Formats: sequence, C-alpha cells, structure tokens
Amino acid sequence: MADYKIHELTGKIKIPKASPGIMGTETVQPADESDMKELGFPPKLQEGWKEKALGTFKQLLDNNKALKDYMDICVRCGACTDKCQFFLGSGDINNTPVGRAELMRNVYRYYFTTAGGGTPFTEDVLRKWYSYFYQCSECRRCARFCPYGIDTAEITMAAREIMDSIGMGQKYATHVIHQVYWSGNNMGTDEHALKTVLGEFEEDLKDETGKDIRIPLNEEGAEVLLVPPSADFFALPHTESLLGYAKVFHKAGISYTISSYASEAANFGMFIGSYDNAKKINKRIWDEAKRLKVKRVVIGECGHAWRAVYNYSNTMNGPFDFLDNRYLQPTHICDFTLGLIKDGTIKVDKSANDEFVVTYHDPCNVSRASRMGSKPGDQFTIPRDLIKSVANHFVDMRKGTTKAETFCCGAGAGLLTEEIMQTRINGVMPRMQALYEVVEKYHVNYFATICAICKTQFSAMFPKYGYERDMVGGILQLVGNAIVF
Amino acid sequence: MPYLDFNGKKIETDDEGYIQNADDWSKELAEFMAKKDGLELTKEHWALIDFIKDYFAKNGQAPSIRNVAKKVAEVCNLPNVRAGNKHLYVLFPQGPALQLVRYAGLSKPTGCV
Repeated sequence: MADYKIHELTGKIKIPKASPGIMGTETVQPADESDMKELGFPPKLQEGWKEKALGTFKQLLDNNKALKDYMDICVRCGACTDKCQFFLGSGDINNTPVGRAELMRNVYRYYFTTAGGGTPFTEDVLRKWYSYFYQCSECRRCARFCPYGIDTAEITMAAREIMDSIGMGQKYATHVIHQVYWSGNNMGTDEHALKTVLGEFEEDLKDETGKDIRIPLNEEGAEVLLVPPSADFFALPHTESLLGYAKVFHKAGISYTISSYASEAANFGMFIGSYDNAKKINKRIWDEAKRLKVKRVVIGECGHAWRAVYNYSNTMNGPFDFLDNRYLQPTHICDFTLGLIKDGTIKVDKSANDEFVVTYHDPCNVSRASRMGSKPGDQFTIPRDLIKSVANHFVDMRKGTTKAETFCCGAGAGLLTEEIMQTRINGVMPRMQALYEVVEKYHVNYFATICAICKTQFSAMFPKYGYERDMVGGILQLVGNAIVF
Repeated sequence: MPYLDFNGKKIETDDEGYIQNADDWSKELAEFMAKKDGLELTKEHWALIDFIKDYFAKNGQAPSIRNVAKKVAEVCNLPNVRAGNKHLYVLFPQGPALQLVRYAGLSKPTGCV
C-alpha cells in the first residue's frame, strides 16, 4: 500500500502553508471507452479537442447565464480560500475554490473576453483541469461564504462537462452511470440478484424480531415507492439503515415497494455535469412511480440523491402530479419517520441506544443544496430531532462545521475512488478535527449521517485516523434499534 | 491491458488488478495475488473466498457485506454481524471489495460502496 500523509488530530483546523502544485500528480482513472460511448460522449481524447472543448464552453456560456456571471464577477477577495476542505488538507493553491476556478477563468478570459489576458487552452492546462476539477466534491461550502454568491460547484460541473465532450471522462462515475442504464442501479445488481438479497434481509429481520417484516420488490399498487441508494443493498453500515426503513414501514402498516428498474436514488449524472444523463437517471424514478401506481415517493439515506430528486425532478421530467396530492414532492425517509414517531404510530424505546453517544454529520447536498420538511432549516432540525427521538445521548460538533457550514466528507461527486486516496484523506481532515473534539469531550462513539457516500468514505477514513470503522452509521439504523416490537 | 505474470503465463487484469477472464482463476493464482499484498491465506480466508465464489455461481453477484460478515461470525465463532464485520478487516486489511473479491476472481463492486 502506498504511504499516505495522515494529518495529526488536535481538534484545530489550521490554515496550511501554501504548497502550490503539491496535488498536481493526483489524477483520477480515465474512463473506459465503452462507458463513454454509452453515455453519449466521444470514447477518448481525439485530434481537434481544443476547438471542440471551446465549442462546448461557448455553448455553456450561452445557455447558462449563471456560469457566465461566475466567470466574470469574482473580485479575488479571498473569502473562499480557507473554506475548502481540500485546500485545508493539502495547502495546494489550486485547491482553493478561487484557484480551482481560475484554471477555467484563465481559458475564459483568453478566448471569450475583449479585455483578453488569461492563458491559451494547452494540453498542460487540460491536464491541470483533469486533475483539479476531480479534487472538488461540489459540496458548495465555498459558495456559502462567497459575498458574490458564486457557486464553484457549478464551475466544476461545467469543467467536467467540457472534458466529457472531448472524451476526457472519469472511470468511476461514467462506469457507475453505465451500470444504472442496464441494471437500474450503481452496483449492477439485476432484478434476480436484488430479490435474493432482499430475501436474505427479510430472514435476518425474522431472526432478530421474530416478525415477518417484508422488503417488497416491484409490487404494483403499493402506497409508497421507496428509493434507497443501492449501497443500502450491499455495504455496511448502509444495510443496517435499510433494515431500519423496513421496520418503520412494517410498524406503520404502510405498504411500500422497492423497484428494480429504479433501485438507485443516487444520480451521478449530476456529478459529471451532464444534464442529459442526470435527466435520464432521474426519469427512471419518475417512470416507476407512475408504473407502480404509488401515491408517494420516499427517498432513503443518500445526500445528493435527495438534491437530485427533490430539487430537479420537476424541471427535468415534469411534476409528480400523478401522486396523492398531499405528497406532490418526494419525502425524505427522516421526515417520513419522524412524523410517524411524533404522532405515536411508531413506539420507540430510546434506551436501546444508550450505549451510544451520537453526533451528526450534515451531508453537504442535504444541508446546502436542498431542504426538507415544511420550514426553512428543517433539513438541519429533522435529522437531529429524529436522532433525539430514538437516542438519549446526542451532541453536536462545533459551530462552523455543521448545518449550512458543514464540511464535506471529502469523497462526494465522484471522488469515492481509490486512486485519489490522498485527496480523500486531505478532504476529510477538517471533519475529523471537529469529531476529535467531541470524542475527547463527550466520548462520542456513534457518527450518524444520511448519505451513502459519506458512510463509505468515513468507514474507510476512520481507521486511518485511529477511530473504529463501526462508529459510522445511519440514522435509520438507530431508529431500527429503538423500535419496539 | 495490464496483466499478472503468473507461472510463466500472462493473466489479463483491469487497471486495479481484478482478473478479466474467470477461467484464469485458480487457487494458486489467489494465493499469488494475496502474497503480492503481503498476505498468507489461511483456512478462514479460504472459507470466505469459497463462500463468495459459490454465491456468485448461484446468484450472478457477490453477496452483501452483511452476508459476508455473518459468514465470518460463523467461521470464526463471533457473536454477531458487527463483530464479524470487524474481523473481516483483520482478515482482509484493505477490505472485502479490494481483497476478498479480487482474490475470488470477481470484479470490483461499483457505486457508493
């Protein structure tokens, strides 16, 4: 195994000494040609790429007024520089939000402004784009602090879209999207395999509770279509939350079904900046909700999926106007569950989680890119209230690292892949420092979050930073522990 | 295509060392791959490799990690899934996806796992 630089945990998040270019050799695995073709992109970089790239760039500037503004209005005030976890972890100036965006603005100035300046789009510049735009998790923490409201995630997405259009894709994200198209989910789990796995989980639930708790698949006429991230069918701790969802539906007596065609909440189309692919993935959920004649769509513990479904379904594929008119928007599983506990439908015994001191990590896409419930800020209060309704011991991490100012796990938007491990280690550092504080002070031993990527990333990072992998878990896992049968 | 130089044969792999043709798999190859990672395969490792290979043959897919963790608990006399999962990383320090699955000759799981 390679030697990685692991940061010392002190609880402090220090601004590092600038080390320009230190992350320049960290690059993602290039996409397989077959995956690129399937997604509608050229299979690989070809002659004439520069003209093609500038053509896509121009198209984006023409169609996306916000992007053009983001290119023009930055005043280099520096408010964003120390807000990005990838800069804080590496010290590389190209990992500051303004430094990263500057890679693109330089090309913009050279070709698209009368004042000029900037740099020509050379192969060396393209190589830098490929490296650094895949060291951004599109978490939007920088946007939160920009006085001009520049959303650097949009810049990253545009850069990736331009690179896709010339055959410079990323293996991890493009392969995952290809899997969705043939199997219905990121994992490539087909209907038969999915049925087998869900059957095994039903047996596990029977062993644990003595009850016949079902996890139905493709059942027409169910009241709810449940769309979890497919990691919930496979990985730990993810499956523990899936068992939690099943218990909730069982106790509430609400019929539900999972769909094999739409067995994926995640939408990697968004990550690679491809509106067409994002729309195509999103449509699967929309189509299945219609085909299965459900009244309501509930989304599982997945950060960016919640953003993709809740924010974009309407504009991408039309309104969910065929659902029950009380539920015209999809519902988050946390919102759904908290309602059932509050109105007494589900009885819980909080002491079942007494061994845990719980803290909560707000996933970036839930906290900054979306909302939940009925009031502004409910995306922060609902998950916390749900934890507090099923566990006696909860503490928040330090202010400035939670809610709208949460740090990213360091692996969102296509970074959850081994070849950029140092980037992931750098990116998780600020969150680990904030966690260190509450572990030292309050002996936190359960790190709850509601995103499949966060769960996988933290499970991989905790041992590197000296913590137990199984401290990481979902909120519905805690709910599952506490439900009284 | 990258390959493994094994017993005078070139075994095709992907960029991350997962074999491309299931027919190339043998017990010796699994031991060879493990040794390259500095790992000696014991009876317990083999119980798990056999388990996921059988499962794959039946279901066309590797079992869930929960299922593997249950098997670890059974093989190693541990009380539950949680303890089984913990021990899984003692047996395969880089994790089941990167080691167990690769030694068994299956392809790498994709997605948020």
